Amino acid sequence: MTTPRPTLRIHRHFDASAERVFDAWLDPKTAGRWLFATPNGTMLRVDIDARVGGTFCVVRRDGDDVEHVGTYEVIDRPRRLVFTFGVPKFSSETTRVTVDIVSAGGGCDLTLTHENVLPDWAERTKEGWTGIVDGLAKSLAE
Amino acid sequence: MSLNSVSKHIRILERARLVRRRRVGREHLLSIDPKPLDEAARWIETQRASWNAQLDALDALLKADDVAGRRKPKKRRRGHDR
Repeated sequence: MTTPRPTLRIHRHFDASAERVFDAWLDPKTAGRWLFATPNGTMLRVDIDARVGGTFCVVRRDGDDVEHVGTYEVIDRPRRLVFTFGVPKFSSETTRVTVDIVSAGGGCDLTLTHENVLPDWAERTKEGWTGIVDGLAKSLAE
Repeated sequence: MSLNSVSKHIRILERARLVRRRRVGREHLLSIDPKPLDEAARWIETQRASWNAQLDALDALLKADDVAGRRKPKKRRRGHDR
């Protein structure tokens, strides 16, 4: 049984086309300017193997060096990008990010879904805290 | 709902540190500790802020590239090709 995990969802409109927004995630030069970037950080490394099963590794220095790694699961330009995402320094678990892009009003609407956004928490509680709520709801329905 | 399943769920809540148990004689006194939920909410907010900042940066750089004229936005004619 898979336990539902806490999910974070963000909607955003861009004036740029769906293609440009999509490519910004996978082109190392563009991605290095914003993806996993912080205002005061510098990018040390942006490796992107943009194919299904390919991996990425983005290392940012902002005080410490923080490595962001993952594997591409879906690359459907310019509609959908799915990749696993982890920061080994903070957690051994990986999360999953889905980016959906739809053309809208001359630009595009982007929906970012970050699944399992609380990996440590879920690990700690084993069943996961959404599992708790689920189990409770099921029992109450009995 | 059976007593059994109530105590099962309470054990899960205890493991998640959301419920604390204190024994007084034969009685078990349970209290709720919402702090872990606050921590979880804070973590999610941190993640949200981080993604929002990144998407802000992406939006800004795409606009800056437009201004720089490297990729001037073209008025696209739509209609007949969709």
